[in-house]
Amino acid sequence: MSRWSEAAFALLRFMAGVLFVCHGTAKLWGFPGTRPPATAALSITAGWIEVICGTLIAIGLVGSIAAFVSSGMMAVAYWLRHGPDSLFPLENRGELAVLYCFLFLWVAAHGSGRWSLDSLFFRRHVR
Amino acid sequence: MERFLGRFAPHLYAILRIIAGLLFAMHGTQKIFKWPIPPPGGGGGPLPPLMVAAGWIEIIAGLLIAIGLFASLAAFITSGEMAVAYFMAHAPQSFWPLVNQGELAVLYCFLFLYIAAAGAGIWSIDHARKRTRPAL
Repeated sequence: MSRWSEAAFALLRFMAGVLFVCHGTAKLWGFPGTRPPATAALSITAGWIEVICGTLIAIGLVGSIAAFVSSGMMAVAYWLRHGPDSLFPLENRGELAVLYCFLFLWVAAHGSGRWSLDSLFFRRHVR
Repeated sequence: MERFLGRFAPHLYAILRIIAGLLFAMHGTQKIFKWPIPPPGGGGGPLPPLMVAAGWIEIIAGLLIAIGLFASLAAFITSGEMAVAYFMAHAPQSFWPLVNQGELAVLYCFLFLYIAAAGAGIWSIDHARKRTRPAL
């Protein structure tokens, strides 16, 4: 199946980026979901990082840098919000943060790949 | 960024695969052995057969992905399982993964689909057995 791997990567990158943006919009504007918009400065910062970096990852524009920033942000989120509660991600509800953290770290190393604006603009750097 | 992180792409992929496999296996142990915590809402009574099947798929395939043995096949099966789980358990509740709590299932589905397509890469039994270059 390996000839599909770059297509599968583009799909994964796009879905992860879009889902990540949704966390940002939920924090900033309360959509999607029923929770009111966040008011704490840290949450608003996190929301903007999620919206901007998630969009950049999804469209694949400077996707590598955006993914590196998101990965670091997820690591902070995990140790700030989830890590102290329990050792197990299932119990401290930080599994999503762990997964995003390692996924985006790898995306940062891999680059945006096929079907991205990076591959359009910076053809030389994309493998 | 990929210019100086790119050298480590195969290693970071291996770490991602191991972490994802182990986290996935823990969903299985949660269902079958009630470890590390019992599943939400399902404290008492026997587990429905569908959940038992899902739990064993998660334990076995999750561990196979983590150690990288038949990882492509295992990842393909789990990707399909996550798609079924999403549309059976989560999608009917709402369109948005944030609301229907299915975000983790979506993410696992697409991640395992990639692993199925790309193979286990370095630091895996598949790699040690074949000694071929990883697909990355």
